[in-house]
Amino acid sequence: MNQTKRVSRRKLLKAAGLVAIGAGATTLAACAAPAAGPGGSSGPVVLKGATINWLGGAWSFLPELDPVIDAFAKDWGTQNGVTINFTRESTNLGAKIQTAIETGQGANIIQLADAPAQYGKSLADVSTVAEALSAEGGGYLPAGTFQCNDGSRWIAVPLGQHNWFMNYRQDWFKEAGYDKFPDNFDDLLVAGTKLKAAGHPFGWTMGDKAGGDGNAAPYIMLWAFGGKEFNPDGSIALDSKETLAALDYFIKFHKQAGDPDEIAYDDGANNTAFNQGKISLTANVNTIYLPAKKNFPAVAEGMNHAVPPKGPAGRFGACTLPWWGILNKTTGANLDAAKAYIRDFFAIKNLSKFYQAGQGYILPVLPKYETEPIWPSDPKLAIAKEMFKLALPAGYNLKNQSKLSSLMQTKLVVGKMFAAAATSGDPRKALDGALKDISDLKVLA
Amino acid sequence: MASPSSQNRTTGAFVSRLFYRESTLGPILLSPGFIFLIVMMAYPFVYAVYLSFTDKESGGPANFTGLENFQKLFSYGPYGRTVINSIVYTVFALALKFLGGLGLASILNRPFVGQRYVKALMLLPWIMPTVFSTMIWQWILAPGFSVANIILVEKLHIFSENLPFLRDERFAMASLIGINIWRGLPFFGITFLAAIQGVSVEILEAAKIDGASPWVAFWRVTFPIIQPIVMVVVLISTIGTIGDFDLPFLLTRGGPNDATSLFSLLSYQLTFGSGRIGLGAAVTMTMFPLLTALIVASLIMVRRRQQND
Amino acid sequence: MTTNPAVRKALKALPFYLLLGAVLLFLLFPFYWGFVTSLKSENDVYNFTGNFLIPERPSLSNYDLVLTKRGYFTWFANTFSVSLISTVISTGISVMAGFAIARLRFRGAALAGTLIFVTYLAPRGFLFVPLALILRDIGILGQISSLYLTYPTFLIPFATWLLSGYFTNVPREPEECAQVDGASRIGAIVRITLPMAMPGIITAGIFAFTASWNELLYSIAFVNGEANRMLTSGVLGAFTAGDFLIYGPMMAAATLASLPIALLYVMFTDRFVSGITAGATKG
Repeated sequence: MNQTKRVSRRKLLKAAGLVAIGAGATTLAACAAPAAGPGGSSGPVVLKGATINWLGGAWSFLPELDPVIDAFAKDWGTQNGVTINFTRESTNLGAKIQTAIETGQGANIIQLADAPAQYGKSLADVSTVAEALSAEGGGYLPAGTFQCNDGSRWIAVPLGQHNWFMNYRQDWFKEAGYDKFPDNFDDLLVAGTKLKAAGHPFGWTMGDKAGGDGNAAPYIMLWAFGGKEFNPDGSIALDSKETLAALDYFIKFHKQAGDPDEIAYDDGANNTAFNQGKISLTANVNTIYLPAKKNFPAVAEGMNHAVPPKGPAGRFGACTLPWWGILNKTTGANLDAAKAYIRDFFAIKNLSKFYQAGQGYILPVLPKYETEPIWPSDPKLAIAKEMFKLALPAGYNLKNQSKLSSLMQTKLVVGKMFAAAATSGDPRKALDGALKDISDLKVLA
Repeated sequence: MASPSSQNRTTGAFVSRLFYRESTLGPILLSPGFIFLIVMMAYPFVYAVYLSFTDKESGGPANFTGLENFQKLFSYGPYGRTVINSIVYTVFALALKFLGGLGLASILNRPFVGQRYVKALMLLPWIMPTVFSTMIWQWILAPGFSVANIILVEKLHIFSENLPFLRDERFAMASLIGINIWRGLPFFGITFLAAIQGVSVEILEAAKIDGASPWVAFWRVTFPIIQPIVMVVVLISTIGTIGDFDLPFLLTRGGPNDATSLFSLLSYQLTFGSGRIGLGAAVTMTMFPLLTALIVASLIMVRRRQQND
Repeated sequence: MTTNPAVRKALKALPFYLLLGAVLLFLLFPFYWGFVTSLKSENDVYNFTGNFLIPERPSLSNYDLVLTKRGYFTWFANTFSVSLISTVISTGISVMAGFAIARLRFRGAALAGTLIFVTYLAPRGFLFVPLALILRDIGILGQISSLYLTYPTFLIPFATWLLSGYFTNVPREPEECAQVDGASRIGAIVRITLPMAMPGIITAGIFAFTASWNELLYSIAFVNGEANRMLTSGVLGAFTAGDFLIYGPMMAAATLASLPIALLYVMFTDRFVSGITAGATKG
């Protein structure tokens, strides 16, 4: 009985997804709130009485986002007779997730930004949901597939991507003679040397203290010089003259242009330094600019955003991708409800509100959003639209995110390598250290 | 003979005998704690020991793999650093808390204005929740806006450039040790003080009459008397220090470059960060011999000192 | 001038007071800095010009922010009740066990004492996964009551060990006299020995309460739901996550959260210290 219902539900979802290619949000709305119309009878019967326990971090960077999630959940839960409980934890979230995985209690849906590959054994197959959403939105960008598909199935659904913009003090750059943000890394170094001499150093987050910035900022530099962590076959590609060139560059950058503390920044340090007028450049999402508009109007006035500069290998943006996944101890009606809930909330019509509330903080991973009214109206954040197709996640040269790649991000191996180079002045030694770190992590992968 | 009342009396007598005889009252009083610890600690403990010999990953089954986890650990770079860090951290923090505690006790042993309030205030670092005191230290040492640097460099000009408190590997470890000392010193000082004040005045007077200098009198007369208390405090602190988790977890996350990774943190990161539950348990397993060695060593050192004198 | 004996005395004492001052500065500066920060507005927090050690425009707005934060009083009440209940359970069990080990001759007493102390060595993370499974099987995982069972795992071993040391030093004669006068053994223990052991029991209780108040792992992992949140996780979540450490309110919250524990110690410092030292002399 239950089994047949689940099958029919799955078929329904698939059908909805296929139809959605043409019909867009209308079909989805029917799927989302079948109780509303007289025709939608099969959906709510299955879901009614189900419970979804949701576990993730709070969107403390931008508190406006949580209410969007909550508001939708409340409506959706009422319409479908499903109870949705939210638990948001900022400290020890990992311990809480492991508890849920081991005991099968406490969480059905989890929200994380670490690579889902790390939880691969514990995540349910959400291919039907992801494929339906992909079809609706014009096919996931490579970053989304890379992050959430393990090569054979979708183990998570991408919620969006954070992009690291160049945050810079336009006013100070002007004083130093730059009307435009430098287009390549060589010019950037020249500008930084001048600005540091004028008392406005750059602050590029490197090192192994920043879990967010530290997994984006270093890659922008590494990739621009042609360095890569992996070959597509999964072997390590970090040991290259391109990596050494990037390290070489950062040694000069740190010495001539950088804030000495940039190699010890945690996630908040660059924000504070920038908003307190200590640094003139850093890589960050919009969480410097938005608070500045509120609390430090002079900084907000003087700053702007830019795409990262070009290097010998081209221009690269870096992103991290938060996702929602379903723990595989979730079964029966709860599983159906969890899938239906993600499917419905992630529909363009609903998720747009989420993106819009973020004002560029979190961007879509589906191309169809390009024409949706989700983009920030503030001209200083207009860059978001340019960045959303440019940015790549750590490890991107692989076909799919691997556990090793994910562990390298957790341990911030690449950022640590840059920091070590700046400290010792010896790129080769720093690279060898990173290779040793990677071979250590292979023990765990 | 078996009238109801005498039956009652016999039962009553039996019960009161149970509660009178030491051979039965002992186990009765011990049983709640014992049962609790069997269910909530001994069983989990044995289970965790078992896990350390398995390839248990989060969400997966536990297959017995013998000593494989330990072999893996010994070839895992951060593990070696963690062992060394933990030893350095524990030895330095303990030695300095011990000496500092004796010093603090001798300062407090002298009467001065406001002594009572000073004693109460002094305990603050020890009693404040570590989570919050660590946040304050983070704010004192934070890169960029370190008030410690601003005072030492910009205001007092003691140093010519900012100290890399959390940036440099050695400074980070030194900062961690310093905060551990800060947190533990009051406890050492106050308990040592109470112990010193418990030493009878006559004995000290006798030593003085014999012409012993205060230094000699302390080590030859006072210290042997307070030594049991010193041992207990050192023991408690050794266990707490080698297993310290909150401080590196909240302040440095084990960095930079694993320079402040300690046993509990590594175990936590492997278990919850990487989902390697078996391996995380194995890390803790290897902490026990070291902990035992440190405890035995500190006991022997204190005993030997006493015998030599 | 230097012949004035009062001045000479003061000069002689000067190095001592300087030393005392230096020690106090090291121990107390962090609190002062935390407190000063808690009185500053967000814009002043990072302002290190002028006399930044004394707030120019002290304001209680951070305290206002913390206290009006949705849930703050719930977190506080949760932490308080869990700490109190765990303390009562642990201390009660430990008094019985500690007394038995220290005062009663029965087979296995020494072994039991050693085993209980050995369990104290197990770090929290080590027992984590099995404990979670036990709590699930009992059916209380996710509820606040799971903490009543998990906190004593790290409270009982230490308290038992401390109390058994203390009981060893409480003289036996009064208890024996009371029995000669006709009191039952249990009655003599409760009426005579326990009151004499009160400093030790208070010490064990304070230790237990403080350790519960500070707990950060179990209280987050084993309990679900906003209504069950504890102070430590609530404050960390509200004021530290994300890009910014919001230091002003954070320091206000830290000050407020430490007050109850500080009061506890101010009330009991002398007894607390005598409890440790008396228990330790034969520990």
